[in-house]
Amino acid sequence: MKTGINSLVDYREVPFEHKVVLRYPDAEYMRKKMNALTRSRKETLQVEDVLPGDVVMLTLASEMPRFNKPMVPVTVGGGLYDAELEGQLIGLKKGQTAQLTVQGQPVTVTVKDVRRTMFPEPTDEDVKAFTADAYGMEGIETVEAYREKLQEEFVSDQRNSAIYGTMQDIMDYVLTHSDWNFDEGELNDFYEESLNNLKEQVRSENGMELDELSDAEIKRFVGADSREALEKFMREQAEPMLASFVWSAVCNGKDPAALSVDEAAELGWDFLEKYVRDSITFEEEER
Amino acid sequence: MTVYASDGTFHDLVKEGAVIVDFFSKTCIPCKMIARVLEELEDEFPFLQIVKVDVEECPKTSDEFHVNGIPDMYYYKDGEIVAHEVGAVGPEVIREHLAEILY
Repeated sequence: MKTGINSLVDYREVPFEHKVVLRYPDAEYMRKKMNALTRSRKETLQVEDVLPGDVVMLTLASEMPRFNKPMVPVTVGGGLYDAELEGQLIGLKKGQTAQLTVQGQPVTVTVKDVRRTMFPEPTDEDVKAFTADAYGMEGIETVEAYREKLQEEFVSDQRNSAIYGTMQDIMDYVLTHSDWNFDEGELNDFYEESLNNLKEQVRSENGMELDELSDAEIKRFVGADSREALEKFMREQAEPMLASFVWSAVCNGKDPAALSVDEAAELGWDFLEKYVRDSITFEEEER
Repeated sequence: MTVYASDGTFHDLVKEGAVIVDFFSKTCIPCKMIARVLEELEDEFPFLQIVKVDVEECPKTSDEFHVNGIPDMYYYKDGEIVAHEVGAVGPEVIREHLAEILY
């Protein structure tokens, strides 16, 4: 690689949280997960009073177009429509019209229908039937064991998030606080190669040519607001990517100048993962 | 509601309303993870339409959408594709797209 280092921050001196408390899942999380066991026997009931989790059919009138529609289905507390409005629906009754305030403006809501999905209490037989075909659930045969497994997975996810999140934070710190000597030609080659890879991906996944996409299609298929924004983003990514390869080479005991970009990119981050794993202490909260 | 599409029914199933299309295979483990997420979302938002497309049983539709990697998900609003994700994305990403197509 032609890109080099003027000064490098020692990753072992980057500050981070060394003690992480692992939480257990709350009752709502467990309820949703346990529902999987009896999903095939769930029932939907028409009810009168609105509770969290109910599906309501609303007719809304207001000056705001989003809240001026007939027959809008909303899951109360689901947060997809509007959390502020959803919170005010709790306790209303089927057929009731109420004046609510959303974003500081009045909204008239009529509750046309209220439905509640009910799941039976799971049994050990439900667990056996479910886990027989569920990836990673082999050998789980009782409701209690299933509950334990869900809790273990929840805690394990937090552990992994802490490790990989910390790795990312350290990488960001080192890349931003070190001083790199970028080679313009290498930056341009990296950008061109990344752009060509993206073109190939769009061709392969969408059957379209990146160069022929409109801005709307670029937003839909690639996630960038426009072609200009996409190219700017990819150019900006070239510097931290090349810097990370040089840094990885050094920490893996190699001379970056003796490696190609691809060779440096393949060296990986095992050194950083080991350091973070060895440095973080996990404590589980009391149940 | 979750429905399984065939090559013959696919286009009718996505032409109106908010629809998530999930291209999957029975042997794909990330597809099973996405299936779990979608089942939980359907518990919570039963008015959502989920269209499952088994890539082995729907070769025409899979070719039409150039499905090379699975899970491959499309988000439709009234017949228009609003978003597209390849790979096993997290529930938060799916919820964001859902908010876009539902309201």
